[in-house]
Amino acid sequence: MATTSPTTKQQAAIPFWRDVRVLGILGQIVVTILVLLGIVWLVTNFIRNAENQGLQIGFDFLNVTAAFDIKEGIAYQSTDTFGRALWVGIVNTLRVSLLGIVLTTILGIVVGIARLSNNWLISKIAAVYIELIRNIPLLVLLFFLYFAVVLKLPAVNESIQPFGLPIFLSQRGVAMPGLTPTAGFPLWLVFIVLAVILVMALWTIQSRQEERTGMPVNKTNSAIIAFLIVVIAGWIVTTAFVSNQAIMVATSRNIKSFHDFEPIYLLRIDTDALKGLGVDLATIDSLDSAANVAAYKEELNAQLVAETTSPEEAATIQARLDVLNAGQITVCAVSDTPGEINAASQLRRQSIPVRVKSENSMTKAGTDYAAGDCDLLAGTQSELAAERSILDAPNSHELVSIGVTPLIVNTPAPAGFNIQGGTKLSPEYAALLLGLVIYTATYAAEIVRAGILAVSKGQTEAARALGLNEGQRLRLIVLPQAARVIIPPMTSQYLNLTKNSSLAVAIAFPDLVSVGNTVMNQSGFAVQVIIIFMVAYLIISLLISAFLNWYNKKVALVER
Amino acid sequence: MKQKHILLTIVASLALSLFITACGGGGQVVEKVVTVEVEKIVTVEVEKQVEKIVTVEVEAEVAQATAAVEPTEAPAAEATTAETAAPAAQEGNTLQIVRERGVLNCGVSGTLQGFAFLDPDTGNYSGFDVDGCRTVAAAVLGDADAVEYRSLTAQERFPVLQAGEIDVMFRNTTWTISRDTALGFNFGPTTFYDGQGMMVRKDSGITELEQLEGATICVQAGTTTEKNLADVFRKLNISYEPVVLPDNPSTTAGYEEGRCDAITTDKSGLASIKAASVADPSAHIILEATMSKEPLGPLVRHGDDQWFDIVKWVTFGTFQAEELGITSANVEEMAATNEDPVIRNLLGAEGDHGQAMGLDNDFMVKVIKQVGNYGEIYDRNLGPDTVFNLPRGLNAEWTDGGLLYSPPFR
Repeated sequence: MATTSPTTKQQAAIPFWRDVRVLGILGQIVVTILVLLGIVWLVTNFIRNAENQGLQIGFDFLNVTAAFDIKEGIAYQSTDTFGRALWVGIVNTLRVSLLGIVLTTILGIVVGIARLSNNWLISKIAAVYIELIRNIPLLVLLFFLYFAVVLKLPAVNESIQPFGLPIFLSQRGVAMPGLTPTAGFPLWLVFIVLAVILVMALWTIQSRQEERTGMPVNKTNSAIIAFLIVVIAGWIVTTAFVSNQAIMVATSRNIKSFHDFEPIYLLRIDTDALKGLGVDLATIDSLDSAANVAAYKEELNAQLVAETTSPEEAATIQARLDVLNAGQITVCAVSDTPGEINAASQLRRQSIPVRVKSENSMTKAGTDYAAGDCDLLAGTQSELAAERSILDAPNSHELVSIGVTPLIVNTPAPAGFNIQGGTKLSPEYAALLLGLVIYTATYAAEIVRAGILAVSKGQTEAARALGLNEGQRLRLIVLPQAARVIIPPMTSQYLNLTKNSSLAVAIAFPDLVSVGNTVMNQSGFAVQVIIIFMVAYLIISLLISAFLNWYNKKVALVER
Repeated sequence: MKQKHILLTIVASLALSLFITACGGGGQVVEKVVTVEVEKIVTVEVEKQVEKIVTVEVEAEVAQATAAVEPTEAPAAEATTAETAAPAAQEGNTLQIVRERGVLNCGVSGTLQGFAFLDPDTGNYSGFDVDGCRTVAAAVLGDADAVEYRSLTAQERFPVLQAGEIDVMFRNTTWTISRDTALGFNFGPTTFYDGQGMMVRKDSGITELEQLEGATICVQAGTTTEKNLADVFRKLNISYEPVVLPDNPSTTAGYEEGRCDAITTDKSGLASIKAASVADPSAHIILEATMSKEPLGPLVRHGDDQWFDIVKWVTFGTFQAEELGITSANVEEMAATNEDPVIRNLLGAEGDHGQAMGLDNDFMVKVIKQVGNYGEIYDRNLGPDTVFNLPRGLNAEWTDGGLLYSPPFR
């Protein structure tokens, strides 16, 4: 029997306490009021208890000096505030989460497809991986990866260098050469953009020529050649004209380029001390170039770690190495600037041992130079001119301009305790990323498998009937349809990964929770920091799920 | 499946989970049982002493017995007399709660050899701080072993004390102004004067802090050492890389594996790690440099003056006992026969000092008999017969050139 509409005038009016629509709205109002009252009670209870104990409420502590250091992340010093420290933590969380999401998706799709493969071995390997890793708690997996895998890599001074390249793999992380943009980089980018426009114009012109004449023209070749010509021209122009880097040295040393440091270094080697340590004259005479000295040091190092060397011999060899290293050139500069990187790498390229004394500001670096702590001060022309003007005897120091390319290669090299220079990946970051990806990819693989199985078999048969090979079948037919089923649960896995990254606190990676714990302890404001955690993770989660919902709508198949 | 089946499954799983959580919550039942037993013991003791009064004829003993009977009869009454005796004190009832519970909740480290270490084989706690907990338990509850220890990492220790989950904390915690004021704690007397130090491998050849430029240093999260490290290295103008691990075992593991070139914490902690936690103690060396002042001692929450007084004066009592030469061997004899008024006041033979705080007057006798004076506690845990063999240094009595000085029990 159909329900009659209460608005029909012929029917008797239903009293409002039995009208379903009114009851529905009333019910919602009542529940909302109850929830709000609950929240209000919780908050006032907390405020009352905090006042009883004398704990302060409020977020003013975010402006207090942090006074602790954070090992990796964006620029931060111990004199920054708690707020800045928490921000560094949030950026670290994002760094590991976003890359983790990308890698998880890739690995998940690969393993999910492998699980469905016809090849028995591949599908079993995938199955074993999924079943095994899925049942290990993530914290245990992280501990294992950090303490039993990453920390068991060789020590820093015995880093693995695959194929002799300047890539150092050790328990302190991976250090590999990186590229640093210098002052000329924006101009070079302009050249690249011009090159791209030129290539596009050339392509259009040559296509029209093809159509007109009917004769094929090798567009690809001319495009490549044109692009390279413009880019290389830009490189040369930028290096020659737009380089504001310079070094400040004592005029008496008569240095015009980095090559002039070699004789200084060689002169510093105390040949008398070497003679006293038993080095024969022929070897000492051969030490007339930095390259020869480097080769000799390699020999000594090899002898030092050889098993046939006795402790007394080892002590003598170490003493000889110390004499050779005493002549190192010291560079003063501001850390992470092109001047520092360029000076260090140029000197290292000539096999001259370098010690970099890097500071946070040019003022401190200038003070070090004035105190005689270093052989040269590296920076931009204007900075150095300013520093020179406040020295005691400005004329006894001169500025030598250095041409730098738009991108300089930052090569890592062992120096003291760690590896200096290059792009570094800390072992904590690597262990956390690896653990998160390996763990979450198992869930992602199962979701992908479910999505693929959800596509009806008729599609697969039709694709095979059309003559598509397996790769094309997956890529063009199955996966686009499976995406509808895959994306919603994948969103949950991405959110899980983001929140699981908070386990970084157990393996010393300074993410939001790790830094926040330190802030909680140093400042004492536990509740406020927890609120910041909640808000931060909530915002990140909402952004991720909003983006994926939009993407889902976009790739959804439009059905008639 | 039909809707009926689904509904049944959901109801069954709800019932099962409720049952399981109910089983897990049995702790509260155990607590109540304990308190009942304590009351029984108390009443039995009273009866025995009443018998003593009847059979013994000497007046002095009767006076002593009645004096002993009265405090054990009504702890609640005592609490009120203590409160009326000090009307302006901040009202807090930790003493009453602890007496009712019958067990002292004490926060300790649990992973620091020599100070508070949970032996994985026997399940027993032992150490300098553990003995500190036992002194308070002996004074308040009469039994040094009536302690429920709670292992705390550096990060969770303050919220746990603030929340009231423990009554007192002996967790090698440094006394600083921010902890005393902003965090809302009261610090008892310093039981161990320490300083922050740095430990490195012997074959690294490092002897000075300045040689650690660019080094990687392992440190525990949430400690003053983290802050001091940043401050000291900022003053020395050298750069370093901190590796911040959450607790003692993982920090030690990170250092031993070679992740860090050096490890930093209080020098006593470094001595503990070197003697008992690393594989080869002779391969490591603690640098001479002391990077900061680290006065370690017990702490309680703000808001309970009586409880703070108890913890404070029990600790001072152990200092005073060592100064007067009272040990666990001779304390009972001294309490009975010694004529010196200073000793008699400390041990409760004269004066009402214990009662003023809500304790028995002979609370120090119980403490020293069951746990010992400061020197005995120190020697048992950190002394020449242990692997640590830490010299007393600043931790000696003021009469021996150290900093331990108890105000008078008068």
